[in-house]
Amino acid sequence: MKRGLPLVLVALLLMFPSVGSANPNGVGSGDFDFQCGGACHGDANMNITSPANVTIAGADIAYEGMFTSITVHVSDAVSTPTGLLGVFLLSDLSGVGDEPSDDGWTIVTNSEGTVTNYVEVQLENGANATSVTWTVRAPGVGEHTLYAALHHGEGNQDAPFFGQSQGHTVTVMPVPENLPQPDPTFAPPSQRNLGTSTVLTVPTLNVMNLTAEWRDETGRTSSAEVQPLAQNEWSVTLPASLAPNTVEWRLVLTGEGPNQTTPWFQLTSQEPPLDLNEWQIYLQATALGLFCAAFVITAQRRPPAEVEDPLKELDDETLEDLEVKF
Amino acid sequence: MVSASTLHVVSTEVAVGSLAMAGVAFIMAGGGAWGGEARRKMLLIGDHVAHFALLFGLLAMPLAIVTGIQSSSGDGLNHPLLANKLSLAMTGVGLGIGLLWTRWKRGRAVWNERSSVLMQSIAGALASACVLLTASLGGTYTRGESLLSWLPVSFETVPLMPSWSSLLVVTLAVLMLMFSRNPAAVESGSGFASADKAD
Repeated sequence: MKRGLPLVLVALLLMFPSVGSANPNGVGSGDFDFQCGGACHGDANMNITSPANVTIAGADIAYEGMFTSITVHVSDAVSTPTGLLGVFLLSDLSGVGDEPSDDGWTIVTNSEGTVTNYVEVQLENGANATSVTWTVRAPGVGEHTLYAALHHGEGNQDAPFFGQSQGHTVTVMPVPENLPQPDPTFAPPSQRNLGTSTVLTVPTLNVMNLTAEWRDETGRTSSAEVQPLAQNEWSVTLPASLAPNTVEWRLVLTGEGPNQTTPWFQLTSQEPPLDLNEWQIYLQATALGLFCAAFVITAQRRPPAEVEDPLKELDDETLEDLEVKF
Repeated sequence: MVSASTLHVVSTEVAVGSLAMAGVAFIMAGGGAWGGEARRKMLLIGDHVAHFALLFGLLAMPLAIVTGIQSSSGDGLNHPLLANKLSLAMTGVGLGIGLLWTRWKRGRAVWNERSSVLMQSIAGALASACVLLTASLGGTYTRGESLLSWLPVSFETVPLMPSWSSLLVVTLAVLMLMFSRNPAAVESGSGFASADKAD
């Protein structure tokens, strides 16, 4: 008996590393360093190089504080039991402090409808390639390099797979004088509710005329309704979405300086959140639970003293009988 | 580290499996209690299995609820199905606690009277049904379908009482519990120990 407890403890300790060695269902999108992207197995001794090919593409030149887009392509990806693939956008590959924000970049949207540097995409059965696009606001003047990385599991291997791209250097330049541009305070939304059109108020600088375009997942481009509200302030209306999906939209800005076209901004439609007071639901659930317990207890509160036990005589006999059978 | 969704699967399987077994055993015990001498063995087995399985399922329920909330996307109760899951789960837990408390306090005498037999077996089956329905809504929430999708009941709307009404129900429940404390029943000594002594 003295050995029992230590044996159980050792058995548990041996079991848990295998149970906890991975997150087979992913960890969800988030802001993660490469080292801790849901696995914390980023060091070379504890992972396997992914056979997938990871490339990063985007404009070579951006203006300080202006929008630009970066696309990560993954090809030759191995299929995993869940089809999940984690894709990072990073400012270096040191593993720590390597989120784009650590180098001054600001993520505005991405094609998965979040504003995070790590997203999990689900590959369809048989598919081995995917791409993720980030729209970012450029940091200060200078040369800035971005990297893409990915990680995933694989059915027959215990270790996580990691892969990374070559760096993509973006030269960030000062904004030219008179350049038509969205106001630096403008923050495009990344999500909206189903069934309602989206009306955006877009402040601009040096813009004399503004048009807007949007496209759905089929790639067909349409014009969005634009109304001037005041000088350098515009209203852009994007049509309502009837099913959960992602539409992309962009602005074409015209002024005295060279015309500018923003990158595509991603806007994901989702069902409107439940507009309820959570505490009201918790209170109701507690009331239901308490009432049900009280009802069962109260309904059977009679003292049993005078009543004969229905199992009294047969207990020993039945138990012996059961012992023989089992 | 084991993720919340993995723990949720484990704890849900324990809770649902135990409570499904408890539901069947409560019906079996109820049938045994109505069947007279011939079915007393069925009552004995049903009584033991039902209450132990119910206890085991109830112990797993808090872990299932907490990990379920942690593993769902978004913050808190942001979907009608989640709100209905919470109400159903708490109803099942409430019924289960009432059943176990009664069985503990009254011992096997709960199977002596018709009203008590009816209450014990029907409430047991209802507790099981509530938890099975809760698990089914989880399937609907994550995969869009479940084994109980054919039920002609929509869980896309949340029946919600005003807060004052919920507080009234809580007060009523507390009053019922206070009045149900029958000193005679306590002094006469029921439960497993006294039943054994009586034997």
